[in-house]
Parts: sequence; C-alpha cells; structure tokens
Amino acid sequence: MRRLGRSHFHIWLLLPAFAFYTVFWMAPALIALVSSFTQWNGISFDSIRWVGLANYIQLFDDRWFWNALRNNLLFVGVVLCSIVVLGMTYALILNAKPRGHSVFSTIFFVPIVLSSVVIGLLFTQMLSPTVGFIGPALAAIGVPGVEQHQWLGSKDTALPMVMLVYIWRELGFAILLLLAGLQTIPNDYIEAARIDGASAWNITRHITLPLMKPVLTVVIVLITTNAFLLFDLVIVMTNGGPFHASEVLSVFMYSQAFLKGNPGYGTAIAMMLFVIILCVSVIQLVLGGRGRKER
Amino acid sequence: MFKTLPLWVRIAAYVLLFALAASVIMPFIWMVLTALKTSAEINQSPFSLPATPNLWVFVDAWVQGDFTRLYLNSLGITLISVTGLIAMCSAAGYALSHYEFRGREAIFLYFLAGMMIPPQVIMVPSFKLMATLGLVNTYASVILTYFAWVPFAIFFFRAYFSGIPKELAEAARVEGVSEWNIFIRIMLPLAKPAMATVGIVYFIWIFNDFMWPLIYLNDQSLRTVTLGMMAFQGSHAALMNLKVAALIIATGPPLVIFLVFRRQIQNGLIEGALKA
Repeated sequence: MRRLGRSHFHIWLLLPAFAFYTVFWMAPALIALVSSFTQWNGISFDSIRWVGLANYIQLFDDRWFWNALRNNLLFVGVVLCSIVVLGMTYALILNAKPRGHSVFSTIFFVPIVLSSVVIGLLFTQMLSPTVGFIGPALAAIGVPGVEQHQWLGSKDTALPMVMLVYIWRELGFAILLLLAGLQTIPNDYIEAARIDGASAWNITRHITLPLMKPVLTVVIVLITTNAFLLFDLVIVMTNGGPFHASEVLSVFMYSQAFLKGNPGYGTAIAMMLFVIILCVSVIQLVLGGRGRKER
Repeated sequence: MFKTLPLWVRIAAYVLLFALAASVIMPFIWMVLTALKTSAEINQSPFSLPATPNLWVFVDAWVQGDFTRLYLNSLGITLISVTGLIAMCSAAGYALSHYEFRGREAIFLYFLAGMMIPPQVIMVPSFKLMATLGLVNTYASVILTYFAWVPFAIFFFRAYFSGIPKELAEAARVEGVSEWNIFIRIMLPLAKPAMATVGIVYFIWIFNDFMWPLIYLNDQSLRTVTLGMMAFQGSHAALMNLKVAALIIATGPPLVIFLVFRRQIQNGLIEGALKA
C-alpha cells in the first residue's frame, strides 16, 4: 500500500537541483544558442537584432578564428600525446614498485591540488629573463642565446611554454588514474604469463595495455576535453599574445565577448567549442561501445 | 617485480623518476630562495643564496596582498557551494535511484546533458542573467552558478545509491518511518563515502576556479585567491620578493592539505574519474 505522501516525495528531492540547474545552466545554454544568431551591444536588450547565420559566416571568414582553432588543435594534439605517453611510462614504472615509489608518487601528485592560475603565475616568474632561473640554467649547461630570451614574449615559444606548463600540471593526475587502473589488473594474469616465460615487455604489450583500455579511454577523453577548454593558463601567462600567437578558442571568445563588446559573436565562437566537445563525447561513446563488444 | 628487470631499464627508470621529481621540487626551492632575497640579490643571480634571509617578507606579502580577505572569500564561496551541492545532489541522486516514477530516465538524461555544455558556452548569457538580477559583484553570482554544476554529482550519487538495497528502505517503511526520515536517517549516513568523494572533487574545482570570479567579481573586496594573485602579480608597485612570497602563500595551504589528506584526496579523484 502506498501512502499519499510517498508518491510525491521524489519531486521534493529532485526540485532544488532541478531548479538551480535549469535556471543557471540549461536556460543560459539555450539563450546562448539563440543569441549566437543575433547581434547586440551587450548593454541593453533593445539593441538585439536577428542576423541569422551572419555570426557564423563572419566566423569562417575571420582569420583570427582559424588562428585560434589551429592553436587549440595543436595544443590538444601535443599535450594529449605527451601526457598519455609520459603518464603511461611513469605509471608502469611506479607500478613495478621501485624503491621510494610512494615518495615519488606523492611528489608527482602535488600539482593536482594547485590552481592553474597560481601555477601559471609561478612559471611566468620562473621564465622571466630578469628574475627567473630557467634561461640562466639552460645557458649554464651550454644552450646558446637563451639567457635573455623572452620565453612568453616571443611568437615561437609562447604557445610551447603554455603546453609545457600544462603538461607539468596535468601529468600527475594522469599518472594517478593510470596507476589506479594498473593496480586493478589481477596479479594472477601476470604471474601465469611469467611462469610461461613471457618477457616483461611482452607482458606489458599483450596483457597490461589491452586490459588498460577502459582507463586509457577515460584519461584520453578527460585530457582532450580539458585541453580544448584551456583558458586560465593562457590568460595568466600570455593573455593570448604576443599578437595572437597563443590565442586559443576560449580566450578568443572571452576577448570578443567581454573586451571587444561583441557578445553575439563571442557566443558563436563558444558554440563551436560546444560542437567540438560534443564530437569528443560521441567518439568516446562509440569507442566505449566497441571496447565492450570485444570482451 | 622491479628487481627482475634488466639493469639498464632500472637505471633509465630512476633517471625518469628523479627528473620529474626535480621538475616539481625545483619551483618550490626557487620560490623560497627568491622570496628570502633582497631585490639586488635577485637581480644578481637566480642561483645565489640569500645573505640575510628576511622572514618578514611573508608577513608583508600577506598584508599587502590582503590574503586574509582572499582566503576568507575563497573558503566561504567554496564551502557554501560544496555544502549546497552535496545536499541537493544527494537528494536528487537518491530520488533517481530509489523511486519509480514516470519520466525518471528522461530527467536523468536531462541532468547528464549539462556535462556536454562547457562553461564557456553559458558565460555571456549567465553574465547577462546575473546583471538582470542585479547580482554581478556579489558572492551570490558565483555561488548560484556553482549550484548549477550538478551533473557530475548527481551522476555519482545516483550510482552510489543504486548499490544500496531497496529492501532497507522497505523494511523501514513497514515500521512506519516517514519518507523524509528514511532519507535523512538511513540513506544519508550510508552515503558518507560518496559525500566525501563529491566534496573533495568539487572543493578542488571551485577553490581553484578562475573563470567565474573573473567575469562576476570586479570589486576588490570580493576577490578570491586566484583573482587576487593575478592582480598582485600584475601590480608594478609590489617588489619581486614580495610577489614570490605571495606565490608561496597561495601554494602553501593547498600543499599542506594535500600532504595531510593525501589518501582521501587521491581516492576521491580516482573514484570521481573512473567509477563514474
């Protein structure tokens, strides 16, 4: 027998989360979609004009959009490959439990709790030619012409430096997840293979890596999504400069919407980011589905 | 297992381990050395040791950077947001896993959809919305936006509550316990590990967030640690050793908390990323 009170209780449980989520996340998302087809000065609602696809057409003609997209893709590509390869290498090493492995892993995981703003500011100072130590340290080991180099101020090194700092920040997190994945692999499998005379390399290649596929997929998707949405580090370290050299989509969008007074155009840029994230999620679902069938 | 590997592999492994460890530790050593030096010493050489270490620099940086205010703002915003999120999302996750009702799957999918909408997409409309509500430059603007970050927490709580047998609630119902008390007195105490995980993940996210404070909080007295640090490092008035001391003040507390609660934070992040 159901009492009357019970049949409505779930509504009260759902209501607060539903209300905040709808008003402050989903409604703005819907407005974003609509307003990417409008043009307005961002000050009064009277100035809104329906312009159809004009923002998107302008976007495809805007060389700075292509520049930001190219920087963003380059960033994701480099960062993803480096973090996955390095993360897997370090996770495998730590999983073999060399002496001092818990001290090493504690040190590696430190950047996880620091904010990217503080990390960005710290590296900005360390890379500075006047007070930093990275230039002088490289000069001391014999790299020519680096002592006075403006690492963040020159076109060729600004984006690579942001990449390096990003990898420094995210590597610990990747190692943490991959190591957790490695530790779930039953020891029996590896023991059995070793008794059959398989080498360490063959065990890694044919037993460990295939079993790590689900965890690897999660790590790859997390890194890809976060790297596409890169914002904090660039704002703090280079602000997109010098002359757009390190501008990525989020930063381009922020400067158009909030600094150049063009919110409609900015929202159209944000929509492109949404499409990219959607594609990543779809690829994840497809890959995840295929992985399940194989087992 | 490590000892069975060939010698060159073991040496290579240790070289890699020490290299990465050095890259993490070096910045901290540099920060401490630089903060304790005078401006003249800093300009001379980045490697030299401070002649007379000046520990007052930390007090000066704390006062000049107004860190009492920054930390109170950040902690206040983060604690209110995390507490609210845990309360709302544990309730929603419980409802979605223990009650049968029409449209349950649809509502769950609706909550999940938000995971695919990055904050960048809603940045402009959210700002407009807060401006219309007159909330720009108030704590409420960031807190309300964080309150909307529910998808991951609901997903996690729903999965956790699904693992708790329904018979438990049924037995209590037969005894005449009200629905409210079943949730508050039986279910929530069982969900403590899930609350810890969600709490840790959200605490790190929100405390370190930069984008929302950047667009909502212009007022100096409302600044969070991330915003305040950005302003302090950009100011030309502050001396170099003060700026670096400020960096230590901003990295220190998270570092200490990490070292003390290492296990919990690690497990929280692993659960959050892999079990969900």
